[in-house]
Amino acid sequence: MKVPWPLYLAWKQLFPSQKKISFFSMLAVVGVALGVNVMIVVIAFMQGFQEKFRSDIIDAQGHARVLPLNPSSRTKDLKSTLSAHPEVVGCSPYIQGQLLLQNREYTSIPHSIGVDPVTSSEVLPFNAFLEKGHSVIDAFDSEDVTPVPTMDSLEDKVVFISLEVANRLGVRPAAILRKIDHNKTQRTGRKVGTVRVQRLDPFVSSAEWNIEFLGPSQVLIQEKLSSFKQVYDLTGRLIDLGFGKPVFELIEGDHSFAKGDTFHFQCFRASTLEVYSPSMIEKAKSDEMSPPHEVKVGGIIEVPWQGFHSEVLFGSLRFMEDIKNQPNVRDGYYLKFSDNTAGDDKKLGNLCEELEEKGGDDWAIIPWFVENAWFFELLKFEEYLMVLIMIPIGLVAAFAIAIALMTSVLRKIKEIGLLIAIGGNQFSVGLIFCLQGFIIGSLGAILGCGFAILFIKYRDTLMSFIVEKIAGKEGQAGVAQFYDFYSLEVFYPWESTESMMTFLSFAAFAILVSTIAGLLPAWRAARLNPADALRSE
Amino acid sequence: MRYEVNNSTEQFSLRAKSLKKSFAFGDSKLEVLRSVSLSLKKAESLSIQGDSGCGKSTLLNLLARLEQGDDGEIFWGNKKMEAARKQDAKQIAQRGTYIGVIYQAYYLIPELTVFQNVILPARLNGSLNPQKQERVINLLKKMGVEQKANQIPPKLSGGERQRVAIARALINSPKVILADEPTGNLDEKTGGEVMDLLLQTCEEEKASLLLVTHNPKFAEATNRAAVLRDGELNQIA
Repeated sequence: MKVPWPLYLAWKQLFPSQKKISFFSMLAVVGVALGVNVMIVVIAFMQGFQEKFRSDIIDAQGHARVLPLNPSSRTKDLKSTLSAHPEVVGCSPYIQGQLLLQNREYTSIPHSIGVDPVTSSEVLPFNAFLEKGHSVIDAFDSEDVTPVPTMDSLEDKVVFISLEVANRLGVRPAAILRKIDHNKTQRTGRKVGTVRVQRLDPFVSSAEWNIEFLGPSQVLIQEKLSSFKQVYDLTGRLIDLGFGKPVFELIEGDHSFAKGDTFHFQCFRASTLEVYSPSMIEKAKSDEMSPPHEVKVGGIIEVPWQGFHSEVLFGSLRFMEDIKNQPNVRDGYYLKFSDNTAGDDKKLGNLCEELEEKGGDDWAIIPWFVENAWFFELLKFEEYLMVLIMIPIGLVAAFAIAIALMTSVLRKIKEIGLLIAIGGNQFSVGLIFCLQGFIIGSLGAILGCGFAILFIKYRDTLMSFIVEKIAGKEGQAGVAQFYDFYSLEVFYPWESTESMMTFLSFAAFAILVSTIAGLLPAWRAARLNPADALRSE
Repeated sequence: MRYEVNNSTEQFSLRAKSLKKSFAFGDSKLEVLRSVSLSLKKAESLSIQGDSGCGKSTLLNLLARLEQGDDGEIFWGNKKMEAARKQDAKQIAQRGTYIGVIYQAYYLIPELTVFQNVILPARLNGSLNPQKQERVINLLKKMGVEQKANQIPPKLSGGERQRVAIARALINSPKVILADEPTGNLDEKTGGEVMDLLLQTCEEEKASLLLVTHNPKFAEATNRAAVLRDGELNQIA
């Protein structure tokens, strides 16, 4: 293939024969590459934040919310109508409001939501929220074996609260520790059998449990504080002593449990909260004092998105109905659609409109992206602002290229004259310099995209290094929590169209700007009088 | 004796009639060429001597149509060439094949190897082919620098560079070679060798040679010699 000679000479001037790369070319290409890398990485991270918020919002609110438009419509049951649609894969009602919580002299007024323990998990991943909120007690000679609470334990007298509420009130859910038998661990090199806690009821009392094997199928269970004592015949792996007591599970080791094997547990009861509704407080003003509702803390829940509510309480629907004294009232429904609809915002919007018509005029069905449009517009604005701030990076690289190429024109003025003397036309000679800008831009764009992919791949390592250098080891946790870089899903270009567009846009921008940077030197070279060029000193 | 143009056109590879060229310096005007006429037969060599700044290089630039004259006509063979500003793509391409240029300062492209430098006019001309590549090797052999084919110009001596420049000027088998003081940067001995090589090759290639030189010895070696003085060309031999 014959390469056009302006392209050939442009390439040779950047990458001379017998030299892998000229110093100018290397600086120019690396300069463009770094600019492209920075632009792509920043925007990729911004998109990662958007994606994270999108996923958090859908997790916390479902794909859409059904909202009553007038008080009478709050008592209508729309669930059967909505669930009948084939694209609706989950529909769960909720009641919300503000409640006053009290523990001794500490109070909190969290955003409180009553959900249906059975259907809510179809729409919102509550068990995952509970797992996120679950923390482990760090004890010296014991091991925290508290099982992660699940939605199964959400009874009418149990609530899940956010960590902020728990800290404000000084409360915690039930916990259980297993004392470590150091001697036993050292004695046996093989995997030993153990007893774990399969379920910890929110209504368990503080207690010290002892499980002693009397034989392979019989255990003696004792509780020191209440003097509870029972010989339990093992029929399976579980030891279920009934309501208010932990459910233990036997985990076999390399050999069966033997007589004398003993396990000690220390159980701590869940805190109790006093809950007041606004109507109860109103009554109290007129001296009609009604006793507060007492509920147990069933678990700590970490919901990724509650608008700006950091203090949140989740209870059962019945609990909220009771405390608000509004039976059969629904404040709305969480909806979840099939992946086919959920993945396409336009489809989702149309489906919401269709369902809205079915539900009559009393209800509105708001997709997640409409309800939170302000927030995403804000994020988009930030993204555009970042682009605007970063454009000068590209322009600085372009100016550097333009200056270097202009210097090159002056340095090669006699060669320009010669090229015309041996049969080159002035336009093609000018093109050499324009193409140099194009080549630098293209190589810089490719290298910059490569750097960006590496940065995205090793972002955790790099961010840890940078954050540790700036904030130190102590500050690292805080920075990570605030910016949440580590859980950020940043897409590679082959994984998402948006990411591909980001890569292509900035690569095209770099190529365009670099080529334009070569235009002025090219114009200068093309305008040179060959005789003057040959005559120049 | 005033240098006169021969009116018979067929046997000439280059002719110029009444060329005039002046340069403006502010309000004043310096007339470099008053009325220069010359003709160069096929395979003939002509030397032009003259003081520095007398217009020798300007005359060569006019003949190569790199510069715009004030008046006069130029013929490459039988074809009248347009003024430098009016040249079309065809005429520019024709320059690459009809005229070969050699300069005192060689003007080799430092980023290209010797081989790549020599074949460059063919590349510009769009006639890059295996025959041309073979011709490059032959020319380099003739010039005695075939061992340097893969070297870059900065690693060559002055004499070697000028030999490469001669090979480059000859690659497209031009009818006319315009050589502007080709030995100006070389010592006496090397200059002599290069000049012998240039004259010999032009003769072999049947190319006409217009040589601008300060060296009377080299001027004598050409078929005819002329002096450019006061803007006029006078034949001395």
